[in-house]
Amino acid sequence: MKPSEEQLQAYLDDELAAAERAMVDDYLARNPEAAEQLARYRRDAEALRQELTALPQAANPALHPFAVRRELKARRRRRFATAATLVLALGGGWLGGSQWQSHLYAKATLPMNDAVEAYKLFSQAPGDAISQAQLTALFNDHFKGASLPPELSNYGLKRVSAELMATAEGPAAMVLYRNDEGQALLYFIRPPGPRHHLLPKGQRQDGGLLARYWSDSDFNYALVSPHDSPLVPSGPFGSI
Amino acid sequence: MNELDSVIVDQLPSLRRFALSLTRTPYDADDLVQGTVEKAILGWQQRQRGGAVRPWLFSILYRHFIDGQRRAGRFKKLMQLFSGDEGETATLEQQLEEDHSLALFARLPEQQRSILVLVSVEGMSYQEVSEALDIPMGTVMSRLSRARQAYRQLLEEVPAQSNAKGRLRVIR
Repeated sequence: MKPSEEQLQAYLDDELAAAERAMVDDYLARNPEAAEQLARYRRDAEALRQELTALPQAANPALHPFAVRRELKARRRRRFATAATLVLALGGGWLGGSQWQSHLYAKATLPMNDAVEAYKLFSQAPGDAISQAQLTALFNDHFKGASLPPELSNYGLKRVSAELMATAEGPAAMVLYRNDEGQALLYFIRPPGPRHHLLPKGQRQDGGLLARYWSDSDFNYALVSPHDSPLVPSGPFGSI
Repeated sequence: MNELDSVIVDQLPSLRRFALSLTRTPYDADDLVQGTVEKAILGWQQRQRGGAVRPWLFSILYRHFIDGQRRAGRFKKLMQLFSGDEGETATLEQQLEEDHSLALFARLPEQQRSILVLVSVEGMSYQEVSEALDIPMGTVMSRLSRARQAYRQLLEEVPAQSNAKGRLRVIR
């Protein structure tokens, strides 16, 4: 009986059970060519083993499990350190970011620019006198703790309108005064800027307009008037 | 030293030989072995108990090699795309005389090299090889048969060619 190719290989590698082994022995005894082929395979294997095992292996301490364990530990530490740094960076970034944002806001936004814009839009708008009661109600609803815009009849000014406006930080309001000559004074109140950005007391000229501004602890204020005719001194508005 | 470390230390020469037969460059081989030791250490606790450690180590190495080949293949394609060259380091064939039997061995396909090394050089049983390469026993035997035939054919062909060259030189 002719053994299969696999059986011959298994014979060579001593992987056959006794009965099969005897069968192959018997076959090889009758087939010298097959026996010679197996002998060549055996010599090839032995030569390969000798050549490969004779190849010099350069010392490499990095392969020792001790070195690998040490490297693994070092990597874990580095990872932890990286994670910690990342947390710090994110935290620092958030803090730094918020301060930076505030700084940017201050740099990019002219103080009370929305008051100036409101003046440009509404100074010529028609309006009727607005009562003290209406004004008080508006401020109680939206600007608790803020000082009410005063009566300025002494300066020839009449309150002609009060309007609520929206800003990203919350409601703002303008109160428009006008004199008989049609000159307008705008009182503007709004919440502090992003990150509670309050204003130092100051004033700035914007084209033909003058914006005077200040803050208390809760709100930013501005008075906007023609530059060459401020209409009122700072006094009546308290803080300014 | 714990059980795993002592087996690793014991098997390092064999693992390096097996790695060299796969990668064919000593540098890549040691890189492969280092990765294998690392994976073995990390995977030791999760290992299913009962199996022999040696084939387990070889199977880690082999899997690591195959994964690396896939990555290297993608990387090589990418590099060729940019540089147009192969970017290979000196291989076993290039380091040896072309008719050296190890250089011939290195010409065999990877599947035949790996099975010949494990059986003929490392003396593993078919069962161990089946575990190390993650192939059925039947495949171990058929692959081994093809590998031996292919290797024998190379050994018979190439020296004949170099003898022929030698004779030509004499005639000149």
